[in-house]
Amino acid sequence: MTTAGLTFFQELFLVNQTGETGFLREKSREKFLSIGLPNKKNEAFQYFPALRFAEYCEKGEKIIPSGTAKQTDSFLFSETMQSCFVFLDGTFEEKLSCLENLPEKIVALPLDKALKGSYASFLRHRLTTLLEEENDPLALLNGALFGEGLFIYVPPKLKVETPLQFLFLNGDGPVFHSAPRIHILVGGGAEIQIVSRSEGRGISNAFIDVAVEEGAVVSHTDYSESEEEDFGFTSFRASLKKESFLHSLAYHPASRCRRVDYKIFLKGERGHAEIFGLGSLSDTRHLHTSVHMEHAAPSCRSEQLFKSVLSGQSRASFTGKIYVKRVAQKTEAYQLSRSLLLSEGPISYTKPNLEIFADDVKASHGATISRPDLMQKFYLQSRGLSSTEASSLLTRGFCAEILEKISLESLKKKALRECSFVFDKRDEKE
Amino acid sequence: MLEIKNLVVSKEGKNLLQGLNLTVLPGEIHAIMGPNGAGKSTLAKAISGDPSYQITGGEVLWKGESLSELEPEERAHRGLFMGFQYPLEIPGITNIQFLSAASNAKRKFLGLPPLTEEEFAGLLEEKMNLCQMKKEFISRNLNEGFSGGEKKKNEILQMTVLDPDLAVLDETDSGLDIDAMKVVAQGVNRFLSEDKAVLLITHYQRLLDYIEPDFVHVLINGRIVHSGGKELALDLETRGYDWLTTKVSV
Repeated sequence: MTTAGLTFFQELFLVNQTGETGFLREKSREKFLSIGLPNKKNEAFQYFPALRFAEYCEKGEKIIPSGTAKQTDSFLFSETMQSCFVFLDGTFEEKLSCLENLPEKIVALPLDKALKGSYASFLRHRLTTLLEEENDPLALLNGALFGEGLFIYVPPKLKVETPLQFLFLNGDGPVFHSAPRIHILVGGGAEIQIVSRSEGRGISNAFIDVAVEEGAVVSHTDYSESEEEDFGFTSFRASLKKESFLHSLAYHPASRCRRVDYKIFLKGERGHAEIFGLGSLSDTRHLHTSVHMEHAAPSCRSEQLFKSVLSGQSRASFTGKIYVKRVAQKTEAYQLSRSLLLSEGPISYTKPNLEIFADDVKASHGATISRPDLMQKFYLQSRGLSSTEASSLLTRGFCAEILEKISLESLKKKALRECSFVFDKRDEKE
Repeated sequence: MLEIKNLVVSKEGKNLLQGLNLTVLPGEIHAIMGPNGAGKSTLAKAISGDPSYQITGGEVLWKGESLSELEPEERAHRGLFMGFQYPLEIPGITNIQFLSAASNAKRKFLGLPPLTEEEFAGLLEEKMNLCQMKKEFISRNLNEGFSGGEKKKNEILQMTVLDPDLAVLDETDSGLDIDAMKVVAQGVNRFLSEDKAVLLITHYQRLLDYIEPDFVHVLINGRIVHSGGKELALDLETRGYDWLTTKVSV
């Protein structure tokens, strides 16, 4: 195990190891230390800038905080102005949160408190299961270092119309690794829409776990537009029971180095999960996506579509696996990764995987890495669009397939509007 | 209007047009016919500026200006339009987004202010009615999932919206049923006026039942080997191209 960069975290491990969540922190720390920081030997981090991350962590203590007072309002969406949970430097801050529109029936508790009350049995079991399954060093690092976590319970059949936002802010304090952590239990037949957003300097290492009960519907958007954030990580975990539905979409237009790691378990018949991602990368930005989609029950369906547009010296990777257990007959599972390279410098790596143990399965996986199609470009130019306008329109078209799927209407509009602007500028530069 | 002199066009080092001459004046309809591989589509692509074709000899003059140095969009701005034999599908871009961008690009060249979304939507609706296209095609992605006939109608719609001076239509009749062909032909006939012209590239005489050409040219081996009036198309329908191929060989 490489020790580069670990010193910074080992000092942090000494703090805050007590309370109801102590067992989670301790086990996570042990597991993390046995694995170490992300490195190239770990398949999921083959293309991740592991050395850059380790060096950054080594210098962690020396970085001076930006000290910028964050105004939460500017990071809220019009739909979530009164339904936003704010985490400051990784810790849930009820006082900073705006929860006027939160339906009364929704239970929102600090994780420590939830582990003492009537949800303790569910939560302990859930945390233990997650720990057993967890092998991702960044998710484990979150488990070892999270501040005040949050537990949310949506009672059965409650259809929550107001989207809930989780805002992860960094930068006011001397904390450079923030680890916000959220566990959500969505009761049978309930419906909820959530959006997670991180802003600020340093490392944001979020962990979001959703347990979706029978017939429940969950829509999740993971978003960041921070240009200050040095490393942004989201570990998203979900388990789906019978006839439940999960939609999750990651859109990170400006992160310097972003990694999104999905582990989705379809555990009940006719569960359905769809996950999408879009990165638009310029300069030396990185986007790394890792997916484990596990079909553990019959007649479930999953779809994955991840796209990236790259220019400059940017890097993107997609490592995805569809794992179909023997019991998961009549599975339908699809996975596609597509990258569009706008110049000579960027590199996109893609590694789709299928591992199937059932014999009645429809599944596919595929990947494309291409440049803008010259014939399509000529077609547009022949109608009067300039070379730049044609490239921009084609790139926008490439992205639109994902952007149209953003469930938060205000973000969808913003993304579609800004998408063309960003690409116009980029094309002019290159 | 369009003057082509001794045009030589190559692709990947192979000469596909070998000294082609053609003059098109305002108000005229020219039909270019010929066997497969004769160079008909090459002519259309060379006129419109497809970068995979190189003009290696001769010249193409458009209203007295050489086209060879102009980008495809500059040719479009000056009033040239090519209807593609295989219109491309562009995912993620709706018909209205594309047509609005194209229309405003031309207006910008002409020094006119851009049309607002509402203004353009009104214009498009009117033109779509003329082309007998359903309203739903406004918001569908450009040519994506369109049938062959719908794609060709969409080409005619684009021509109608962009209002060029010369339309080069490359096998616009291929893959069309009779009803769709009539719609396409009506679109072309409506477009024609004394200051506009059409260059129709076709394999078959049947399109010419609906669009009456002033001139019919036969293109073989990269050259126009025979020209005549509309009766030549009927002659070709009966006799094929063999007699002309033999004539060229001799």
